[in-house]
Amino acid sequence: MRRAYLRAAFLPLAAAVATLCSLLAVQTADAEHGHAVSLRIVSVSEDQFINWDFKNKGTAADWPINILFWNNAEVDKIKTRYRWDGWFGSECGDTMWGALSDGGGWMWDSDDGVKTPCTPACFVAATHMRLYAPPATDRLYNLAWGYYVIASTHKDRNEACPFGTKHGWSEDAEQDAVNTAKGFGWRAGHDWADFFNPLASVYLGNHYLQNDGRASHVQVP
Amino acid sequence: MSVAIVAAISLNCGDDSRPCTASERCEWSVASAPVPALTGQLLANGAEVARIAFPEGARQGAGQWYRIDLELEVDVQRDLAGKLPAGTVPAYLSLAVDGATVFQLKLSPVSATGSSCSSRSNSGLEWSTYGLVYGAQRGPVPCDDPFSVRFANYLQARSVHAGEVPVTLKFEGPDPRLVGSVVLRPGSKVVVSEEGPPRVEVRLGHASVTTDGGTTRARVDFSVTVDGKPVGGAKVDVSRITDSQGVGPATAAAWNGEGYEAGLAWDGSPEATLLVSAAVARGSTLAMVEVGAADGGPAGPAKAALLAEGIVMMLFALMIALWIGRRVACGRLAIRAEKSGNRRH
Repeated sequence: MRRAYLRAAFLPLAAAVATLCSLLAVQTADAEHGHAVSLRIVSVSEDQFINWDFKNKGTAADWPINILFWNNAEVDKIKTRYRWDGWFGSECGDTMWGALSDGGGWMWDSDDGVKTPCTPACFVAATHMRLYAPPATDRLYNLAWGYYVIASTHKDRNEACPFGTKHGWSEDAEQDAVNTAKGFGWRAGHDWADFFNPLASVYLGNHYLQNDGRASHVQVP
Repeated sequence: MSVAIVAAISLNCGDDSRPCTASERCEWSVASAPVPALTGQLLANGAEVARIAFPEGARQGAGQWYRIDLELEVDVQRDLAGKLPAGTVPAYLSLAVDGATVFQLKLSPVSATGSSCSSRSNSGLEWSTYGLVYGAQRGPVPCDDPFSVRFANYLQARSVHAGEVPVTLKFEGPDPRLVGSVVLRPGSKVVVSEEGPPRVEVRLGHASVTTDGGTTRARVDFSVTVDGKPVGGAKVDVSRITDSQGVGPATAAAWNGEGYEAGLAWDGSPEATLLVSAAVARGSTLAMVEVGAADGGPAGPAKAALLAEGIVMMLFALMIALWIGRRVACGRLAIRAEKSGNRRH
C-alpha cells in the first residue's frame, strides 16, 4: 500500500517541485528582453541590493547593475555632474526600478537616468545610466563605501532612425560612463568587483546582451 | 587650492553641554579647539578645519566604534536664496575625515518653480542629511535666521587608522555665496566607544485605511526593536511616497505605551507606500511598507513575496499531491482487491 501510494504521488510531487523551481526561475527570471538572468542579492555590511534593475517594480529584469558610485555620492549630485558634461536627464529615458535595503527592509527606487545623446540618430549609440538609492535619502551609507549609489547602464542605438533600433552593450556603456567620470577628475576602477550578473555577448532580437559581471567603482570626492 | 584652518589637537572634549559618556573616549572636539565661522566661498575648494591623531591600533569596528557628532549652524544668504532660478541645482556641504566623507548636507529647492524670501518665513529651500545614527533628517531653510543641524554618523572604516588625519569641510554647488556662514558648535566631536550601531528594525502592526470623498486617511501602528528587543522612546516619522516618487511631509508617530502610531491623510488612491524612519540613541533605520484599502500589511520586495508565495504554493501542491496519491493508491488497491476477489471467485 505504501509503495503504491508513493509511486502514485510521484507525478503530482514532481509537479510541486517543478512549481517551486519555476518560481525560482521567475526570480532568475525573464528579462524584459526575453532571456533568463541570474538575480542575486549583493550585500555589504547590513546593506543589500539586487544586481539588476526592473520594469514596474519587479515584473521583468531590465539591465545589470554594474557601477558603484561611492564615498560622497548622491543621486542628484552625480546626475548634475554628468549633465554639466552634456548628458541629458529624465526627458530622454523611461523609468525603471532598483531594489535596495539599508538594513531596515527592502524598498524600491525609480529612476529615468542620464543619457547622451538624448535620442541617437542613425548609426549613433547613446549611453544611458540609471542611478538607484532609497527615495527618501537619494544615497545609502555604510562604513565600507561611505555615501553610495548603484547604477545600471546600457546603450541605445538608432533610436531616431526609422529602422535598426537596438539596445544593450551594458559593458561598453559601463566603460563609457566610468571614463566620463574619470574626465571629471573622479577616481575610478574598471571591473572592480563581481556583481554576479554576466551576460554572454549575443544578440537576442534587437538586444545585444553584453556584461562581464564585474562592476566598476567611481569614487565621488 | 584648499585652505587650512587647523585647530590644535586635543583629547579633551571639554563640552559641558554634550560631554562624552562613560563609555566614550574623545578623539577630537570643537569645544577644546574652536573653529571659526566659515563662508561658502572659503569652503568652495575645501577647508581643513582640524587634524585628529588616532592612537596606535585604531580601527573601526569590533569593539572600537568611531563616531562623529556634529552640531552646525548654517546661514543661507537670504537675498541669494530669494533670487535662485527655477530648477536650481542642489548644493552640498560635506565633511570628510582623511578624505572619507562622513557628513553630507543637501540644500535643495522645495518647489520646482524656485524659491523666494519675500514671505520672510520660508526660503523655499530645504536641508536634508542622512546618517546611521539619526537616519534621514530634513527641515526648512528659514528666511530670517540660521538653521541648526544635529548630526551623528559612524566614520568610514578607511578613515580610522593610527596617525594624524585631516578633517575637511567642503561646499559644492553652483554659487558658493549661497552659504553665508557655517559654524561648528562646541558639541561637535569625534568619539570612540565600545558600543557600535545597533540593529534597528521597524515592523508594521496594523494599518487601517479609509477613503472619504477623495481623501484617504490611514492609521498605522508600528513596533520598533533594537537588537531584537522592543523599545519606546524612538523617534519615528512616517511619510508617504508621492505619485512622482518624492517624499511627502513627515508625520511623527506617537508612543502609546505599547507601540508607535501615526495618522496620515492624502488626496488620491488609498493604496500607498509609506516610508518609516526610526531613530534611537545610536542607530536608525528606514523601512517601506505598503498599505491599501484592504488593510494591507507589510509587503516585501518581489523576491520575498515570491519566496513566500512559493512556499505556500509548494505546501499546497504537496497536499494536493498527497491527496491525489492517496486516492489513486486507494483506487488501485480497490481494483487489485476486486481482481483478487474475482480470482478467488
